Amino acid sequence: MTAELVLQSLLLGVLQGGVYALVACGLTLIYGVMRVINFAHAEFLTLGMYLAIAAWTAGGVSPYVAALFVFAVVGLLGAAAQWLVIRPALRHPQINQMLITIGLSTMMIGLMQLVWGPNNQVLNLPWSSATFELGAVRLTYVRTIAFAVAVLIAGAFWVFLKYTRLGMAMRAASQNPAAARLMGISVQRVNLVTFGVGTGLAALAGTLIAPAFFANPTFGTDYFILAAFVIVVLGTMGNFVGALIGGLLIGIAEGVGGLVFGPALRQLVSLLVFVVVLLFLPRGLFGGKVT
Amino acid sequence: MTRRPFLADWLNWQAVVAFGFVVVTGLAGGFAGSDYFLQIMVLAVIYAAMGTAWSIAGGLSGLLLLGYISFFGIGAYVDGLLFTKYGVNPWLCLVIGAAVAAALAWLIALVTLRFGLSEDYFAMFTVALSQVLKYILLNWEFAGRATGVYLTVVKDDFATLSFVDRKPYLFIALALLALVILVNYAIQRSRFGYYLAAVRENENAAEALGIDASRAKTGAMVVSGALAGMIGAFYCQFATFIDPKQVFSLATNFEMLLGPVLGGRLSIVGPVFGAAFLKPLQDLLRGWLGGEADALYLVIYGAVLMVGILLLPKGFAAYVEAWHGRRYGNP
Repeated sequence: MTAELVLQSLLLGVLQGGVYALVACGLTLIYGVMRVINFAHAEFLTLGMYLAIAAWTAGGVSPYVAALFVFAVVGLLGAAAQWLVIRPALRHPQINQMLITIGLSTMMIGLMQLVWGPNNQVLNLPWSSATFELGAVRLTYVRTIAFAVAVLIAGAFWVFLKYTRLGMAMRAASQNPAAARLMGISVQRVNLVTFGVGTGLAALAGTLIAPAFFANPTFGTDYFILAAFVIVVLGTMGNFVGALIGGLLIGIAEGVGGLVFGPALRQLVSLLVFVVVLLFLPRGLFGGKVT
Repeated sequence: MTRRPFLADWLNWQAVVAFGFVVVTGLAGGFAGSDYFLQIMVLAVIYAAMGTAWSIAGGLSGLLLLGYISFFGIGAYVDGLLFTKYGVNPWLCLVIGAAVAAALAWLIALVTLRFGLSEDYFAMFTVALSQVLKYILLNWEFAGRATGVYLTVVKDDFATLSFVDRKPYLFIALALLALVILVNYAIQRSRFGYYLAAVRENENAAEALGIDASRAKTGAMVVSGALAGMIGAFYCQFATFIDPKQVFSLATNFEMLLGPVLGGRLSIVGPVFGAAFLKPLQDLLRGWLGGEADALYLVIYGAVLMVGILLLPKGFAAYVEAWHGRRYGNP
């Protein structure tokens, strides 16, 4: 194992981690505000990939241009889903809410298969496989751009949460829904926006990685959802910054783990991180000490 | 004071109706001709048993045991490996499968309950663990990796729990279901059952009364896990073929929880009839619309799942219980 190889896996892990972070921050935000674990989250990423592919094959629209449009469309769809099936279940037992999001996930997979078929689809940009060298390491442009944009958007979103009125309302609703309601915040509207934005961000991540992967109906479930859950737990459920840092950490852990244990056991690495976190840091990195 | 009729008690009534279901299904199976329907019936009974066993931990103790299939899969693999590699008698494998699954359940409880972790963490941990087990088995040479384990059945032999005929499997599955119903009933009747109810309704108040909440939950986990391990071992004998993607499938996992959630997690009739109704419906729908991965099937199944859970948040059994209360004039 050469030093270059280690560095290569490390950097690829970081690049993947940036995308993970963008997916996980929506998931953690939805959990923080609604206390709902969205098992359909990865399906919104897959939907974003498909829409990017459709925009490219139908109109030659670059995924980076389509991204904004995809964010808006999927965000609206996510908000609609929240209104129709999540909102009525918010007072029901948690197991019901979880099974409802699982039903949503199943239905979305079915719908995507109905529209785009079960086989792999690719978005072949002319420079999809173009690479550049960074020292001894070779990276593709698409993965690098995906990372850079993901980090940029996650950062912008953090600023939004921190300084805008809506962002503050979201944080208030996540800290104490009852108090937020007393302060005149419409928690129902905040829920709606949060679910829309969270799923929209997942779709945005999907458009960014579309040129680098194959899309099929279960892509998100197969490659993203478990990692996203691990990240959310690692970064403390509901903690936005935690999800960003957790995303990078899991990306690196999977990159290096894949090198050490072989690609077949790559996903096992993040699952083992999950178990270890639970054993030694049961509330995640930012949850404080357990008394 | 006059003695109230036996059936006026909701729990007794449920036990009688559930055992009635076992007997009627057995009689129906005795006359059923085609292997196709027997297959559907056995699977429905397995799901009913899994749902009823799950509701001990997932219902009575109030734990968010979302990843339940781990115990089933472990049981299946214990049977498959011990039987094919070491020739251990499958009846004994049912017991060993239960013991191994119980040990796993105890370990999970030990790890997750010691800090009084939030229920969401517990739910996600159990789901993740089922996938850890899947990946381990997918990469374990001895267990046949992705190809899994095959049992060869050449003749009907009660001693090794292998039959060419499908009928005996139905009777054994029903016996397992009867066992699970009995365990669930006995727990709800016992002091342990009252502990679970107290912990479920108000953990702090229960602890203030001197109930060890962690111990009660651990007990529920171990019982639920052991029963699932036993059912998993039986499933391996019935299916004669298991692989990691099948016996640790998350889709199957959630299908198994659907019966108790739509039927009623705190009841006995809920999980039994939930699965007895939903599983055949699902199999027939799947057979009608096409294969496992058929898009239209997934759309309809997902939609029915969401609408059903929204319409029956407490499960169907809540309505039956209300009817039962009116019928016998219970307060």
